[in-house]
This record gives sequence, structure tokens and C-alpha cells, in this order.
Amino acid sequence: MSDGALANLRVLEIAHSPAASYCGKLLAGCGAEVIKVEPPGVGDPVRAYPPFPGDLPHLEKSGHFFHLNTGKKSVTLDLDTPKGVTIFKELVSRVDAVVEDTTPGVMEQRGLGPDALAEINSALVVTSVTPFGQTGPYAGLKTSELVTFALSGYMDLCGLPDREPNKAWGYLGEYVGGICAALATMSGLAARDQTGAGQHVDHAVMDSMLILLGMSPFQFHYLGQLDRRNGNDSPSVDHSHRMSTMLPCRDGYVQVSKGSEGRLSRLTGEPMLEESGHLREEYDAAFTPWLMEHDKAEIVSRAQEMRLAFTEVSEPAELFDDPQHEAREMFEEIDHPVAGRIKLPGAPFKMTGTPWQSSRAPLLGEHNEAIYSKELGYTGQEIARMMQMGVL
Amino acid sequence: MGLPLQGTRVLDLGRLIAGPIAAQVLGDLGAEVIKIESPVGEPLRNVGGPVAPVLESAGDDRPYNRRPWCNELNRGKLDVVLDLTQEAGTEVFKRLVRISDIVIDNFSPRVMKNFGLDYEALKREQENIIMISVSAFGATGPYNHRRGAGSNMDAASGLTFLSGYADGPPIRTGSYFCDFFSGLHAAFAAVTALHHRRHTGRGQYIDVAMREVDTTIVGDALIDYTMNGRAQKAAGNRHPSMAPHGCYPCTGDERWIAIAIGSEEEWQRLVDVMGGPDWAKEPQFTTSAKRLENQDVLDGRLSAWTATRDRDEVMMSLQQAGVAAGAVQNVKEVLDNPQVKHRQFYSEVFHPEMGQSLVRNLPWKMPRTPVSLERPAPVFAQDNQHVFQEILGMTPPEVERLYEAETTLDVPRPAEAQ
Repeated sequence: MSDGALANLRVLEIAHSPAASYCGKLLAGCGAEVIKVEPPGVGDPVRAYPPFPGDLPHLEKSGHFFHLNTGKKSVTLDLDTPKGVTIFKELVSRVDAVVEDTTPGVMEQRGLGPDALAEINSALVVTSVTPFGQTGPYAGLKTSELVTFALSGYMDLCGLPDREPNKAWGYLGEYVGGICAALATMSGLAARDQTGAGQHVDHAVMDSMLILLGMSPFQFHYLGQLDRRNGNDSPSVDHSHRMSTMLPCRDGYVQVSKGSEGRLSRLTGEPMLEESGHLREEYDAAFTPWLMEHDKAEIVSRAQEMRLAFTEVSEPAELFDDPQHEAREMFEEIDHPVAGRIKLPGAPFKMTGTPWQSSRAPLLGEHNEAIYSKELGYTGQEIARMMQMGVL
Repeated sequence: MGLPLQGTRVLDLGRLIAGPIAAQVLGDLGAEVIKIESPVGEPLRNVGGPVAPVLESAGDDRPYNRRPWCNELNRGKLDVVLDLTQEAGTEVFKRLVRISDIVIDNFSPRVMKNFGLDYEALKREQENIIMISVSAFGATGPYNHRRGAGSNMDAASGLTFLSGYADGPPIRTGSYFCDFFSGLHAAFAAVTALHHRRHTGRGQYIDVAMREVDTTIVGDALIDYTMNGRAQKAAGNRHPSMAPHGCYPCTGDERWIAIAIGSEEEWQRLVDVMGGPDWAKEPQFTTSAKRLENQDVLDGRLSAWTATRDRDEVMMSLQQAGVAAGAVQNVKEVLDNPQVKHRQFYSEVFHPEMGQSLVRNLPWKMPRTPVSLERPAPVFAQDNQHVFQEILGMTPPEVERLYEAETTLDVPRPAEAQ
């Protein structure tokens, strides 16, 4: 058992998307034993996500898979076979939670819907992670990160006002879905600890993204003001409270904030408009020439000394020799039997009493023997036969 | 069945977004959350967007009670005012710590120490307290006192750099992404620590650095750098291996459709829905690799097709054909959206000064455990008497002394006076 906060929990994870996988990563990082149940042969589709060393796709070398699956175990199991279903049920009787992201209805078709699983284990929490939820007019829609981003309304708040709406980096929506699914799972487990009963938790990635709309729905509700994307300024239509924006400097960009008490003037050595969140053009015009004569690290360091909330717009490569990341050991190096030594982001937060668990991502089916033989009691012969039949 | 966190008490010293939303999630799950405001009040009572119209029956005009943003992030909480720069204020706070489970703050790390309320001090009041501090760069390290709001931390984590258009400068994500994302992680850490305490009896201190939470999202770009030395740049709406993958204009003002082709088969379906135009058969578009290589031209052709069509009809016909396509909805459309309504993501609750106020639900449904969404946002100092007298058992003269010394107030002190 780990010394993590969730050391007494066991979780089965069926993941095809970053959201469910990030949920499992968070639970595993906090010490739960998370067992990925992957289809034999191909595994979790995220195993095909870049980056790969030398850009050569390989089932056991996906950098994104490594990142999303730290601390987990992996077994292979074909849930579309009767034997696979039987074994899954055996596993379900031994765990606290199942996190799954199959299309609504698929688990029911397999005879593994929440009701069927509750019959095996009444204390089980089943978290279903889907783009739009289990029911409703969108439940059957075909989607992707881009399309969910669009439908959630968040995309209309991202990008320049005179250009098309713009999706932010990577799988932002999926990761927001993942943290919310992890919260949902822990909520179900907290309720279980009170009553002894599990339940089916119906999580939606799009609903998680609605949280990101921030003030905008509320402002519309009360005042009828519709926020739109606004580049590097807040999407709010009321510009009088601009707190922060991005401006270019000599070697890149800095995120700057409005000043007070003469701080901006002391920074530049010129009289500056301090409360100039009100006057964006004047502020930018007065500030930009000075910024263009200085590098971002120097600007930020001097501004922060004056208690101004300035930060660099950091490029990925710059983050590896960042003194703060180094002091807090943000990155971890892990040895992987196929990919060699890999460097990954570590804990997203630090629980000082229960350390983050971050062993490397598992190989496909790496824990078949430990789980099927040692735990469920299948003989080596039976396991070999099931592998031959494609069940494992 | 009770609420998941029934019987849990949370002291919310959060301000602006990240701390308050973390505490709010715990409240929605059934915890009793006591928001502790300074005499000038939560900053979002004074800045951060317009003021909602006053309800006629509310009497005096107190605009600080009607900021939509402040109220959305603090709905469901009890509200008490304490001046923690006074010893009398920290003494009352310590009494609350003795009967609470979780303390959440998102001050700069030195602030709680200056109040004499760091983790060691709280532990002296209650050995198994859980303390969660959310800060820009974390509680330790050379940058621990650097300041930054969510948009700063999106920038400092690499997310802003990676989030522009494929051919332009960095652009921040809409709204205040890192505030929400780190606040949700703080809430997760809280329920995780509670789980641990239920089973071991031990509390702990949790250090949430907003930049580090954001770092998880750009993990794939960072790993590409460590694996291949490649400096990733913003890709906008584009996908590393699939095309077309973008956002295309439709008839009308600000009407856009997002289309994400994920396979050769889906490309064929799109071509069929378009009626098999000749251009789609040109050699430059016949394979996924060629479409990727020629996607500027491809996007132009596809835009010309969408530009004469109705957004919602394009979405429907592509969805019927099995292509991932979705309207870029604006905020108004989201509020009216049939799926959002089906999930009852938004509801309303009566607020004494705003009337019917909008309520954001949790993004999951737990049929056997209701959520707690009935309490509106508190007006300033609403629960002073309840907290001092009912919860802490103070006598009226004791409470009177707090008012006399302005350790607590019923009306916020003007911000300029501080």
C-alpha cells in the first residue's frame, strides 16, 4: 500500500480519452491503486497520441500516454467477450470505484451497466465520463476536443475579436473534465463512506467547461450583456476594469497588470498612467516602447520587486531551467523499460502529509499476471489460453 | 441519503476566484462554508464587472451585494467579517478553527504568516486541521512571493504561449482559466485529504501553486521538448495529424461551425454531405497527409462551402452523417441550449437584493445524493450574529466589543481607507 492519501482505495479505469485518464492519474497520484483495463493488442487509444521519440509512433512510447498514466497498473481485457465480462465482474467485486468513458449505452450492452455492477458490489461508485452526459439531446453526438470546445461556449471567448474563435492548446477541455470527474468520484466515495451505498455518477465534460465561462453567463442573465472573445484582454464587454493584459517586449511577451501608487512610473522611469486599465490604448502606447527595450526576465523581476503582478509569457523550453520549478522539483525523471529515461511534469499540487505517487506509466497488460493469477487465482495455463483467444 | 460532505465545516479565506470556487464546490457537496471577509470586503464586491439591477423591495442601494461575479462564486456560503490584522480578529478565527475541518486561503504565502495563522499556528488550535493554500508560484522556492492572477499563471506556465492562432502571437485563454482550474484542483485535494483524515485521523497542509496546476495541461508539449528537443508553438484550431480541423464561417454575423475530421472515412462523409464537389477529388486533398500539407487551401475551400449555409443545419447534416461538428455557441445560446437545460446545469434561487439569481450546478449528476444549491449568495456580513453567537457561543457584550473595535462590521469600509 502506498503512503498516499487514497492508499485504501482501488479503482478500475476504462479510458479512451484524456479526461478519464487524467481523472485516473489524479486518483493514482493521491495513492489509490488504479488499474487500467485496456483492450488487448491496441490498448488505450491515447497510446497513439504524440509526442514519440523521433516521431516514430509506438504503443509503448507515447509521451502523452506517459504523462496521463503515471502511477497506474494495466491489464488487458476484451470486454466484448463473455469471458472478459465475467473477469471484469470479478474485478468489480474487489474495487471501490470504476471510472469509464465509453459511449452511453455501451457498458449496458455488455451487461456491465451501473445497475448490473451495483448487484455485484452495492458500495461501488461508477463514474461515467462522457462529453455531454448519459442522456439528453446531445448524448449521442459525435464530438472531439474542438467540437466540445465550440459547443460549450468557451471557444467564443477565446481568440481575437476580428478573427475566428480559437481553441486553446491541446486538450484543455478534457483536462478540465478530468479534474471534475476526479472530484465527482471522490464525492461519490465520501457519500459511500457515510451511508455504505455506492451510486452512478454521470459526469459531462461540456458541463465542466461551462465553469470556465466565468462571469459571462451571469452578466448576461442580469444585464443582457453578451461577452465575446477579446484577444489578450478579458472577454468582458466592460473594459473599465482591465486588470491585466499581454504586451510584447524585446525578447517575447510579458503579462502585465495595471499599476497603482506610482509603481509603473518607478518601473519605467517615465510618468505613466497608473490606473490606466480605463484607457487601454494610452496605456499600451505609453508602455510598449519601454518594454521593447527590455527583456522579459528583467521586466518581470523588477516589476515583482515593486509588487506588480507581472509574469513572463514563458515558452516550453524556458521552463526546464526555471529556478522556481527546480526548487520545487516540478519535473521528474523516470526510467521506462522501452522508452528509456523520460522527463515529465510531476505533482499538480503538493499534499505535504501524503506524498504524490508517480511511478511510470504501465506497459500494456504489464500487471496481467499480478492481477489475474495472484489476485483472481487463474492458472498460468488458463491465462495463456485466454491470451490465445484474445480475451487478454 | 445525506450530502457527501455533510458535517464538514470549511473556513473560506479565499478572495477573487481560485479560493472561493474551491470552497464553493465543497459547499455544494454539503459542507458548511463560512466565508470570512476583510472589513473592505471581498475584492469582487468592488471591482470585476457591472452591478446587477436592484430589486425594488431591497430598500437601500448596496451595490456591493449585487456584483454578479462575486455572487456566483460565493453562493451557498455563510458570510462573516473579521479584521485579521487585529489580534481580536485572529482570536475569533482561531476559535472557528477549533470547530472546523478545512481552511482554504489564496493569499500570497506571506499573508497568513503575517496574520499569525500559518499551518503550524492552526495546528496548535486543532491538531488534525486540513489547510489548503493556493498561491501563484507555491509556498516555497525563490518566486514564492511573486504575485499573479490566473491570466499571469496561464502565461507563466506556457499555456498562453501555446494557445494563439497557428500564425500569430500568443493569446490567453478566454476568461481566467488558471483560477478555475487550480480552484478545482484545490477542491479535489480537499476531498482527498478529508478521505485520508476519515481513515487515519490525520490532517495536513496542501500547497497548490497555480502555475504547477496549469503545467499539467501543457505536459505533452513539455515532453515533446524533453523527448525530441522540439519547441512546440501554438496550433490554434488545427490538429497535428488530421485535416480539415477548424472553425468555419456560416451565414449571419458571428456564426461559426467547428468541424473535426478524425479519419479517412469521416473525410469521405464530409465530402458526401457537401455533395461530392470536384475540388474535394483534387490530388492535393486525397490523403490525410496531403490534406494536412495543404490545409490552408483546404480550409479556404471548406469555408466557401460553409459560408453560404446555416450553421445549425450544417451541424445537423454533418452529425447525421457521423462527422464531429458543432456550432460555436455564444454565452446566450449556451444558457438556452437544450442539452444544458436537460442537465439543469443552471437554475435560479431568490436573492434578497437581486431577485431571481442564476445558479451554476456541479458538472456531474449523483442521483442518490442531492447537491446543496438552495442558498443564495450572502450579502456582506450577513451571518455575523449567527456565527458569533450561535456557532461560537459568544455573548452579546463580546460581539458588541468586536463591533466597537471594528474587528467586524456590517457595512464594508471604503477600499481607499485601507
